[in-house]
Amino acid sequence: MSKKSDFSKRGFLFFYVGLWSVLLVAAGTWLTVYLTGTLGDPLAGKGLESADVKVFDSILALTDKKVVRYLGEWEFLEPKLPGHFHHIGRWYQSDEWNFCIECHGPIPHSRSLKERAFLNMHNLFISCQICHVQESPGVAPNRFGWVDMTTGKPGPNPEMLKGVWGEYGAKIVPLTGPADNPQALSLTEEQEFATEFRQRMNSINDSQKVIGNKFIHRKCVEKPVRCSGCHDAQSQLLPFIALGYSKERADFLVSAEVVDLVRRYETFHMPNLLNPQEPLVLGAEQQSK
Amino acid sequence: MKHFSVIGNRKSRILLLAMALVIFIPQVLYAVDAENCLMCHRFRGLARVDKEGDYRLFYVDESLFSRGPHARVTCRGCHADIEKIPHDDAEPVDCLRSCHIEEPTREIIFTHAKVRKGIEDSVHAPKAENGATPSNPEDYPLCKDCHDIPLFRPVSIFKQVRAGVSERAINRCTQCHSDENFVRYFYSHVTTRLHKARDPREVVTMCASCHADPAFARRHGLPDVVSSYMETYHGKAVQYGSALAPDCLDCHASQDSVHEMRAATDPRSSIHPENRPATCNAQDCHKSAGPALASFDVHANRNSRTHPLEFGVGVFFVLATLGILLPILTLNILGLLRELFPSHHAEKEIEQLTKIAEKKAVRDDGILRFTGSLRLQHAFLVIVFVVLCLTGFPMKFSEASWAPVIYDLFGGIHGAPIVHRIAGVALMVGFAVHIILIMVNVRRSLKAEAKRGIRAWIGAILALPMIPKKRDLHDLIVWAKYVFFLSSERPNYGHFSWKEKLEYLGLFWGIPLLGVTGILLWAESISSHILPGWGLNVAYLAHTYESLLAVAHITLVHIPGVIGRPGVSPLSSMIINGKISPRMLAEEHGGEVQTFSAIAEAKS
Repeated sequence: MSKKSDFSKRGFLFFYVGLWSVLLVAAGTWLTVYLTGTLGDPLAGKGLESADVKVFDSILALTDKKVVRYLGEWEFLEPKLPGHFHHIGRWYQSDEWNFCIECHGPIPHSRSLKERAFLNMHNLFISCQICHVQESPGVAPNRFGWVDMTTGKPGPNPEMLKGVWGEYGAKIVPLTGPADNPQALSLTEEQEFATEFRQRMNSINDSQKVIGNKFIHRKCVEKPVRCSGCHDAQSQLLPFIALGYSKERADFLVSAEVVDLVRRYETFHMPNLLNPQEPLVLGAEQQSK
Repeated sequence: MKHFSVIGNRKSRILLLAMALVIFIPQVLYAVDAENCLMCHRFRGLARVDKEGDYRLFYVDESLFSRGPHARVTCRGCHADIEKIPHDDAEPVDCLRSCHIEEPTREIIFTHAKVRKGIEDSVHAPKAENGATPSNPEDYPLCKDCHDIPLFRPVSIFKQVRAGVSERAINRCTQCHSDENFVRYFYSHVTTRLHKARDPREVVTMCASCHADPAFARRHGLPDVVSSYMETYHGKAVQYGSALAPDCLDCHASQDSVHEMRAATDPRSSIHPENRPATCNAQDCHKSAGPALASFDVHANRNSRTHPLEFGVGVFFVLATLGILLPILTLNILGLLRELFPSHHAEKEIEQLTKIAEKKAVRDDGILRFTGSLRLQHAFLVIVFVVLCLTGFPMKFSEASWAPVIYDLFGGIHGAPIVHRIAGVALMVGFAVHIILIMVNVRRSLKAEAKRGIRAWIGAILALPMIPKKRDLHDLIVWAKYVFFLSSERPNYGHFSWKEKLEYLGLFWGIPLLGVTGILLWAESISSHILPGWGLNVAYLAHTYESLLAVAHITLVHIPGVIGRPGVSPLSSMIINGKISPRMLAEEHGGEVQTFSAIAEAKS
């Protein structure tokens, strides 16, 4: 018993002395590094990163910059975008559920020069699957609902009037499954494949990459839903009222103002729209009529 | 609901709701968005990556837009090239164009064009000597590099200045001016201009976006101005949110316009050597300072080439700190490790001495090591030292995340410096009292021995127990041999060991140095009449380095060496009751125990 007690006492002593020693060595090292670092040219050796690092930073890392606005009564932190003049307050809520974002990012549209910013704006509240995916070839989705952007679980229609425009923490998705227990259109196989595909990207050959890419996008349609698919007074892909839009908002989304705007984006410009008092210059199509 | 129920009936609730809407909804914005641009631009996701690979966001935050002077400018007031929907890529906005807002005092269209002249005559305009093309013209700022859309920072001034809109003033204005939105806009606009339109932190961040970039500084042959500024009281106070501390613009920009920023070599510059005294003596800054204050180098660093004096002072303190601390720290760590493997000889000796000390303890009801007066002085020193650390180190390491948390406990930048100065004065007063007490005791002993004269005083002072003697050097060598396992003999220190004497004498170096430099920095205007500007640079360096030395010594040497020893932590009862255990006395002050033994033998 006495031996055991001595042993534990000695063990504790070793631990105690060891802990102090480590702490003191660490503190002494920090002090030495800190103090010697206070001498010399503060700029020496800084800003000499390799060109690759600088390019990477200039392209990607800049959007991580944030700046605090101090306004006396209140202050807020907002992202600092190079050359951006207007305040943006904060970033939008990121979509953690939709795996398309992992490769394509939150602003994936870039081909259509005139429409791309609008299409990206719709990413706030419409999932990629709505326009780009068909569960079976030629069969357009016809049931829709809202899914939580974090959990991916279907939920009730959000209260749009209370939130910020377009940001409801949920997105509209195509629904499948029984009517009493609908689920978001699932791309489970594609998602699992895509996850492994990305992990093994460096170990597969070029042909495999092409084949893998095709598999991931096998349910994507060649001609996605156009803007006029929803913004049309006669027929809309998305049932706005059933999705929780107010009557006024639903009417507005298919009003002449929006429909005309969409049509002009897809066809031609309408000059002087902003100066309605000035003579309207018609587009070529209308002029010919 | 309860709140509403006490306000009144349904009609008055509706009226209140309507009033709230009038007040809080950014109506100004809706008024200027006649083109309905927000139909699209109110969505945060309206963005794309353009062909240059730049991320472009076209979102406009309605609530933020309405809180600045541009709230009354229509979208096309700036984006004048957009004349149709859908619109093509908008041209870059020309900030100097006329923007359709009427300047009310002269009823002419408003424009920022006046800024052009100031900018063109400033260091921020790309120009080179003899008409040559300037190097790196892309580095020179455009409007948007320094400005994003301004936001109001209204202040209310009734009895005291405070942030925000004065409802009292608004109520008075609306007695005559019926459009409350305009009144609020006008009030916010004017009161924002009554103080700094941008928070100093934002100004420093804005300037640092270029000037803190080492590659930028190197391209233009500029010194390190941001980190050196952030090391001054100016920079740290700004970082802590003081509106009184100067940001970059306060010193570098002309009184007329912040855009008229000129090189230090330009005789018209506010920082030209001839003009610096006037800049420092500005009404709200160092009004009573002498011209010498202007030679204080705000952007000093420890670069041996550009700042040899500061480098020399830095080297001295770094060597002093590391030269003193590292050897003692090494010995202490080795001493701790040696505790695990004590020599048989030392153990035996300690046991013998413990027995003697135990007899003494029984006889005298414990062994008194520190008198009540000494314990009181120690407690006072501990409290003052801790307060000085808590109010000083958050300033020294102001960029650390823990710093503002601690600083706020003492009232932040408006309270902590005052507490720091009070504690500093208390420390010096306590130190003076300690010296007086020593001198009184010396005088008393000299009187008892009927000795007089300066030699007697010097002799008595040198004989004080805390003054190092030859034996201390011997003890140090014996200790070093013991911890390096070169000897089995431990030193038997007397009443005070060489470590304690070293720490004690360190106070005679540190407290006067920190006190004097602290007062010089505190009363910088008075100091500037006594010292040249560089004297304050040296005082700052001495204060900051010495404070670190003091804290490092206490935390790395004193605390581990006293209460860190096995069996003592977390607190030695000695500082409470002044009594030392026989075992500890034998271990730490074997020489003193031997003295007890000798006295006892002599008595018998």
